[in-house]
Amino acid sequence: MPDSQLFDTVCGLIRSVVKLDEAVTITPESSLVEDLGVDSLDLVSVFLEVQDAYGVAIDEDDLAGLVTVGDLVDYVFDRQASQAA
Amino acid sequence: MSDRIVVVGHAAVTCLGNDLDRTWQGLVAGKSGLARHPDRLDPGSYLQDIAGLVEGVGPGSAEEDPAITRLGSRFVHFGVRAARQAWLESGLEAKLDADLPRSRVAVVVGSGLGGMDLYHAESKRAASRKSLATGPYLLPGLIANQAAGQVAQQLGLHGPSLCPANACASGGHAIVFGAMLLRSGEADVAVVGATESAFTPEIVNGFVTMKALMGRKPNDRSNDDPSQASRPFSGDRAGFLMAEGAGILVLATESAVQRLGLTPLATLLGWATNSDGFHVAQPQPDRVRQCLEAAIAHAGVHPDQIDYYNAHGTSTTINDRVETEAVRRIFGDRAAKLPVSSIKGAIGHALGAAPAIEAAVCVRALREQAVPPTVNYRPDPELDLDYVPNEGREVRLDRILSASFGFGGTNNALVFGRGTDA
Repeated sequence: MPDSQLFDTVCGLIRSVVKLDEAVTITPESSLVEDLGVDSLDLVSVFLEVQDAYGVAIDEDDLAGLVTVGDLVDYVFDRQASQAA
Repeated sequence: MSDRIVVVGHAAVTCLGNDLDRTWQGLVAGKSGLARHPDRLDPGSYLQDIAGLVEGVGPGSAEEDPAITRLGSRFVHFGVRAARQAWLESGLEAKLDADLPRSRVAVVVGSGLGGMDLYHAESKRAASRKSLATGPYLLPGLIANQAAGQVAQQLGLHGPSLCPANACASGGHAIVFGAMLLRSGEADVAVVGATESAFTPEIVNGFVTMKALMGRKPNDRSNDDPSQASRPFSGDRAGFLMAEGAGILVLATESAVQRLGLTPLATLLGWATNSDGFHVAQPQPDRVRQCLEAAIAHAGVHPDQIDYYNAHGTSTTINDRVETEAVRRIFGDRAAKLPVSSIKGAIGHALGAAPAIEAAVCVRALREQAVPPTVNYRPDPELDLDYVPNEGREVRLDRILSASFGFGGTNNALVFGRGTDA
């Protein structure tokens, strides 16, 4: 189960890429594209920032399943867990 | 009679200042913007770390342009900054749509190398990743025409958009191509110039290997004082020094100037381009001279009517010799009295942007009636022109010849006249 620190860090990475208005609240259910307005290029930038920050690789085949912020946080958590195992 | 080409905006971003005012003041004061930059990108990986780098603007800086934060290449930021300044000066923003359709404004902004800094940084970053991915903004920031694209996007211009990539002549070719678009009726106004930032180990060290850029030299006078590294036409010149920056002019047809009530700053009286067809990097003396002669002829003036030659003056052994000989042949007995100077002593060589920076400086020189000096000058017994050594000079200026030459044997020359000629 991802902790709040992981969620907060991912949110920070998203904000650093997308330059979201501070008033916009990010929740695990927030859709990266629909709710946060991340365009196709920035979406890749977010994934790369996450890769660099956590030293994980995001498989291209998995990208379509990363719709919400929660999806991305869970993915990072699972990847870290599998690397640690 | 052909519609004359008028300069209605001019700007530059250089190591002497982030606008043309500061650049000009530094130039005429005989200052140099060159310094050591050992901490840029990869400390210890440069064969020469003296350079003329722009400070305080660009990606990640305090004055970063918020409209282009995603594009991490410095040349795009410099080009957009200079274009915003020149466009503001022109007063054309208020004329758009109602008096000047956006489709009638061309953008011709060149670059010799494009976003090499971004390429270098992204390559390093990608090498540390667990995937093979590179950033999605690498290509948009790398491609040489992105500065032209961003100038058009940020200023909202929809005429032709071009990016001459003609090495160290790029900015001059951009000015020529812009003028040709105006002459041909393709546009009424053109934002022209060039921008460059290529201070990466690969580029610097490659130029050093070619012996075009001055490598580290024991006992060189630049060791204690980096500002003396670039010394065009001097007896101890030893190659150019890398610089970055941008130069932009806004050109308009004379009829557009009159119709829109614009203020003429200078006139682009004539121009010429030609090709050496000779060597990958070395200039061909006859072709260089012929290019200068063709520009003077295109301007419809006699060589005696040129008051100042703004030289390419790279500080390489061969360029400065070839240029000096061309001036001797074209101007004859008058050559020894003609003021000739190179601002590359003060700001280094900004490659493709250099001709456009120099063009902006020439327009300012016409307005100020003053010639910037060749700094760091020490005589060379074989080079005997008046290089305006070390101190700027007030001179009656009606017409200026400015030239630039690029690897691949591509040459251009421009003749500017006073704005009151328009």
